[in-house]
Amino acid sequence: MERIGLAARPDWRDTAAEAGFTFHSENGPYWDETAAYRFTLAQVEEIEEATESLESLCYQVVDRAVGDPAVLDRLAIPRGFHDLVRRSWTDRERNLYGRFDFSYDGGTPPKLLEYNADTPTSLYEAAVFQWVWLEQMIGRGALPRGSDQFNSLHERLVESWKGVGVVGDRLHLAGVMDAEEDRVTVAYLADCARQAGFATEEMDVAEIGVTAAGDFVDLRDRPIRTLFKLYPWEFMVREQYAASLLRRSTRFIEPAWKMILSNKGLLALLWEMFPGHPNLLPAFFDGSEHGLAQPFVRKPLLSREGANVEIVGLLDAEDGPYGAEGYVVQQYAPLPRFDGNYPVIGSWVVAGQPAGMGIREDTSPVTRNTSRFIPHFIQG
Amino acid sequence: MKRSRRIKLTMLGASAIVLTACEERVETQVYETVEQCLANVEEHPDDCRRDFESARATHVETAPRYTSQADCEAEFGDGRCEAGPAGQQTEAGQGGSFFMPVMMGYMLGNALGRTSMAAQPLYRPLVNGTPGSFRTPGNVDVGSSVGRTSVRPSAVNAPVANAGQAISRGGFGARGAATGTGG
Repeated sequence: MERIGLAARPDWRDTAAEAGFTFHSENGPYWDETAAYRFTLAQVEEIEEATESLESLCYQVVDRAVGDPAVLDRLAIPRGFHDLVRRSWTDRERNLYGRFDFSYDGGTPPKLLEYNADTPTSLYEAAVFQWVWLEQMIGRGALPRGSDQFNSLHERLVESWKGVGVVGDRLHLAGVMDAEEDRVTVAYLADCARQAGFATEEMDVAEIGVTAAGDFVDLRDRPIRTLFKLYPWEFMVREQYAASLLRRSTRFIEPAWKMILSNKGLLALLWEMFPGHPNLLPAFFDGSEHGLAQPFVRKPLLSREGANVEIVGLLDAEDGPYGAEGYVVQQYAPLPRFDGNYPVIGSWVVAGQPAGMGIREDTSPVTRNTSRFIPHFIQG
Repeated sequence: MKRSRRIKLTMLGASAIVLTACEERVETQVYETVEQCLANVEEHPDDCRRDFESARATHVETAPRYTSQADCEAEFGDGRCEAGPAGQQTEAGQGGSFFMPVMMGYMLGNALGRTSMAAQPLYRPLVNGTPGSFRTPGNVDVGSSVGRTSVRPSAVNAPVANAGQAISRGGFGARGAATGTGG
């Protein structure tokens, strides 16, 4: 693994505009191709294997959690929704996608920092724009022929929509459409679903309505039979329409059991069940006798984009609105540093299979909403 | 090889999210009135009337619904909305008032060569302030021409009856508004 300085394609902004990539510079530079990370095939395979094995450990955690209300309590899943979570799992509702975030330096085993199992973004740029980048870089002779990329996201997404269990005459996809990154992620997944043969309808989550019977409908009062929601389960079960979720008249993607995995408590549960696993860091629910020496990381159970994350003994908490539901602590594993930058590997799973990689980089050791996306390639 | 062999995006060009140019088309006929249909000598007069009546009935079941006349007219134009039938039962057995656009045309069912296919009511939502192309209850664009025309295959899907009127909206989204929720 190596960070290589490269000349940006002079016309990349035009290419981005053509490809519908609209948020590359929203809060300062986001897409950054003045550098790229080079991996060997062996390194990529190590990330791939870690991803596959962690996904299977996660399923074992879900299996345990659905049978133990005390575990669901520890994850701050409201009591009234335990049965919904359990049934979504025992009914084998399929999931579509997720992203593991790893600390990895190219030499030691990748360590899991967290799992974005419910509403991961940075998908479009990993699946499409970084792919276009590699094609053009090879085509223009800036990278050698035979350069590869860990990225079968697009093919796998299209294929996986077919098996995920869409019911009804159309697939509804909802997100916070005012947020450009979310809107593009929803539009991209809708595009993949259309290529898989489904009729789609994109909408804002706030446009979802309920009938007197409590069923979800779209703006035209058509029933929402299947809903992909780029909107966290932990919000939905605490908002006004929460009770309607219990009717189960809509099939949700991701399924409700993803509540167990999209929670930082997962890190403590994984360590409890598989202590010493090479891809895991010691992690515990806060308040327990964890015995971690400083510095260690303290993360809210429910937190996004690095908000409220604190490195105890090293770095104050990032501001943010999270933390009311409790915290986990995790041993601090310093991110590797390349030319003053801290990369985090985002390793994607689609329908349970490793499917590609995207790298976020920051000058701070906490990856945040403003971190940049750096493309990667495989050579050697 | 670790990567996708080919990426085809219908979203290439952010504004053109739906690409229809090279899509397969289906032959059908669109009329604004029964008279237009009757003037088309190739059509059997009974088919014209039967399809019109069928589209009228489907209209009541499947038209887009709005809780206020203003909301409806904002999308379809002043005077182009009507009150939904009084006392129509929602799924829960409760009546409720609602508004829907008036039917601006209909698409023949029998012209599709599938006898079981229902005729469809058509609407014309505003585009830049004036009525745009005809759309099915499923919001599929079937173009602006009257008479013989071709449409996207998805346009001939049987319209789905409304689930019952929404009694409220906005019960999701409060926590993620504006900032987005991805991670």
